[in-house]
Amino acid sequence: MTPDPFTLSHWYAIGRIEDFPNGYKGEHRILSTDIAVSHHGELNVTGPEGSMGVQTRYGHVWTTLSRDPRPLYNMPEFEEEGRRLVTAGAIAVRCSGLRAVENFLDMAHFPFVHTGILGVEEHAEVEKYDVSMGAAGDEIWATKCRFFQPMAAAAAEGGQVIEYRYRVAHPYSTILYKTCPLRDGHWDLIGLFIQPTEEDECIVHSFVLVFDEHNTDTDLLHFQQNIFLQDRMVLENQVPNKLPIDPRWEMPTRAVKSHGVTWSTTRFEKVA
Amino acid sequence: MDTDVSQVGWIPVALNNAVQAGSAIRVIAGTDDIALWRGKDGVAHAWENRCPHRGMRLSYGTVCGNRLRCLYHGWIYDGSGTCVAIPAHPDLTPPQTIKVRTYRCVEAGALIWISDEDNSAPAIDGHWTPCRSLHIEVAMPDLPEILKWTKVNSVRPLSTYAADVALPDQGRLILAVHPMGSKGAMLHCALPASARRDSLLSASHWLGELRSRIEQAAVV
Ligand code: FES
Ligand SMILES: [Fe+2]
Repeated sequence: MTPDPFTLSHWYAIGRIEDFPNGYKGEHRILSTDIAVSHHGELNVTGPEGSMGVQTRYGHVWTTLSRDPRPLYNMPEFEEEGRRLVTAGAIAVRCSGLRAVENFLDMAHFPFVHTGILGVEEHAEVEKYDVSMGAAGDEIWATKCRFFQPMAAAAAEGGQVIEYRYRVAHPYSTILYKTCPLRDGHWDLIGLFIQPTEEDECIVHSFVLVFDEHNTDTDLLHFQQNIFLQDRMVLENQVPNKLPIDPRWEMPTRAVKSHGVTWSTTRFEKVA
Repeated sequence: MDTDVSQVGWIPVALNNAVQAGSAIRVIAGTDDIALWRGKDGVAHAWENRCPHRGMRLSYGTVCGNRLRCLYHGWIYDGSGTCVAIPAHPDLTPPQTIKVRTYRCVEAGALIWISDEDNSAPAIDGHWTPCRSLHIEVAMPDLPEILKWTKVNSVRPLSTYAADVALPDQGRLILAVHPMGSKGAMLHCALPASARRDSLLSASHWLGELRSRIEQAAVV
């Protein structure tokens, strides 16, 4: 299946900047398309129709199959003083990238999948939260998400109710803003840049952008890896592994529904 | 062999000791992915291996008493497959429409059988004990075809997939084949409950040889 226009119109992260050092040459894949990446003084990405757009931002290298892509969304927090960026590298997962986004946006699984870390069974209730479109009309925000967490971040000690905001900036990019346990009035960021390779396979690039003076980069990395390993077990065991978008089957994510996304999704009739 | 459970009647999907009380396993029957679980009460259940919520395989779930809890968001299903609790919304009574697709599931002859049809379950007299299950990588020939590879004194079919056979050396046993689509098949064997240890060992050895013969025949 050819990707739908909305899916095609975006920038996708293909790896961390440091994974493409000068002299680098390698084959990569996005949206079922082979691309070649090389770095000789500058980064070049080539696809079936020649040279493609490339930019480095948020610690990662981004490319697009579109000749007229939508601009990559802004994350001003990356310019703030005192934050630390920790990236977890590329993790291949055998599921639709949209399933990975769905999982990331879902607090209800914390007590059962991340037991004792992001949730406990005694506090499984998900309270109401607000959902709104971002200013430009093509982002979705979920705000006032509150959830009890026994160990919300590597720097947290003891349980607390954590406030969250989720941002779906892009069908394959999602960022979690979480109250910073160390600095009042600030948010820590955790996000996924998903590289959809096939309709039912993706590579997840994740980052943590936090105020944290206590943990080493390795501590932060291990915390993230541990959480992600637990999610991966779920993601590779969901049937079907593309995101179902018929309401009779499962609730579609609003991002997918409102933009006519069809690639990497599956219709109810096919799976019933 | 591309078999759909709905067309073929009762499939022996496991020996009865493959799923202990309080646990869940995954089995494939034809092209169907199935969660097989047993409550604390000992009753075995065969369900479509997909939670109606977000599609998580229910074979990863936890048995709580006589109910099954999905791993992903902890939704709880009673023995009939009906959702009885949604932990994220503790005040909500789950709508009756949230229901897992279930198979009929019975135990007979030390085997667990499942079916999608309304016909009666295989009738097997006496008490039996599980002997051995083996995986076969090749597409499985039909049971009558398989029985040509070994000497039998008598055969009484129990379903398309199983027969009560008497062998010259082993005596009486139940031989079951269980097709798994592209994943090959399983061979299961059960013996009368009176069977002693040496009979179980010798039947187990015989089953291993039968598998080799089937696999060799497939290579030729
Ligand atoms: S997928 Fe089973 S409870 Fe959500
Ligand atoms: Fe998770």
